Amino acid sequence: MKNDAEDVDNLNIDVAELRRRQAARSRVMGIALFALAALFFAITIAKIGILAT
Amino acid sequence: MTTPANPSTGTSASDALMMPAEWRDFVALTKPRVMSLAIFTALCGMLVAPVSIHPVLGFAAILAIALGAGASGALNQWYEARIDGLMRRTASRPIPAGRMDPQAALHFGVGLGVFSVLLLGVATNWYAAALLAASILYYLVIYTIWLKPRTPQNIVIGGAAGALPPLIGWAAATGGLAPLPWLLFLLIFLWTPPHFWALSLFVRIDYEQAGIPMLPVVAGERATRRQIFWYTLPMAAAAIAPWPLGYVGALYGVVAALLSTVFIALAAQVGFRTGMPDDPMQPEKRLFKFSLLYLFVLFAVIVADRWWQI
Repeated sequence: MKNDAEDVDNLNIDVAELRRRQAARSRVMGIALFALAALFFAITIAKIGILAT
Repeated sequence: MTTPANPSTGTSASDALMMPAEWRDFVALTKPRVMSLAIFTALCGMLVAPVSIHPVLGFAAILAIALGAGASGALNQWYEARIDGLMRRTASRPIPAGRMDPQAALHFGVGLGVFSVLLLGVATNWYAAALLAASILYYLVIYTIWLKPRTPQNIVIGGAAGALPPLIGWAAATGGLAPLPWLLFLLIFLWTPPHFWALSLFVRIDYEQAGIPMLPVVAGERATRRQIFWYTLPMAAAAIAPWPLGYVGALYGVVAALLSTVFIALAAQVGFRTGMPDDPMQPEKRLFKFSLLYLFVLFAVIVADRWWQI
């Protein structure tokens, strides 16, 4: 039974390029999610501030 | 047999689609240049509103509007991938160039659109969020799917989608609407036809090959030139109108009158000339570039004028 790595090796694609793109996308996704978490935190603080005044 | 995606490397379109798209291609899918106009006009709509918005909430609102505009661009490119592949100007976009799976573009566009509406609703109010949702749907369904392949009036009616950002910006700040943002809407709405028809004159062959019924393709170059000129007149009136109506001061009024005069002069140059074979279309390119500057300066000055009065 073949595993996923063998499946990828059998495709007519550049595996190093595939890994590079996956790594770059994961990095961008990580940064975006962190930024969104920070933004939602800031929105919450701003709304609490508005409600308090 | 597969279609070559990149003849120089010998990779096929199906091979290219097995490779996950680069994150840069997702950015390209959002049409960043079109997005920048939506961001700027929405920001101006927000800044001229009589109610000040908390800076964090204002930033979140502008981000949401930018993401909504990006979602519209992504969904537009998903739907028009085949047509884009036929036009030189758009053939290098991620989907027609074989760098992205259309389904990935669809998922990205829908996800981004839903997220942008939720973000705007949470950060500001659901009235602004509903306007953003309406603008995304209008651009996709009314303009891209319905009007664009059917009628040369596609730009005229479809222009409403691009004119909505100042209304959304104002609504995000105030929770409602007023005459001034509607005048800004009218300005962009009437500015869109001369702006796009100037472009369509020098890329007419592209539209013709793709079978898109743009005005120069259907009605001819001469009729398009006349229409550019005639649309410029109500556009200039809409640009100047906030001044005599008392919504802005003399600073905006004088700048709007001067720039509108230049716009009319350039439109007359385009409107009443006859294009030659292999014409370099310099007056049309000049009008197209000036139209971008015109809108940018008017919106910047209306903000400066409002702040000057405070």
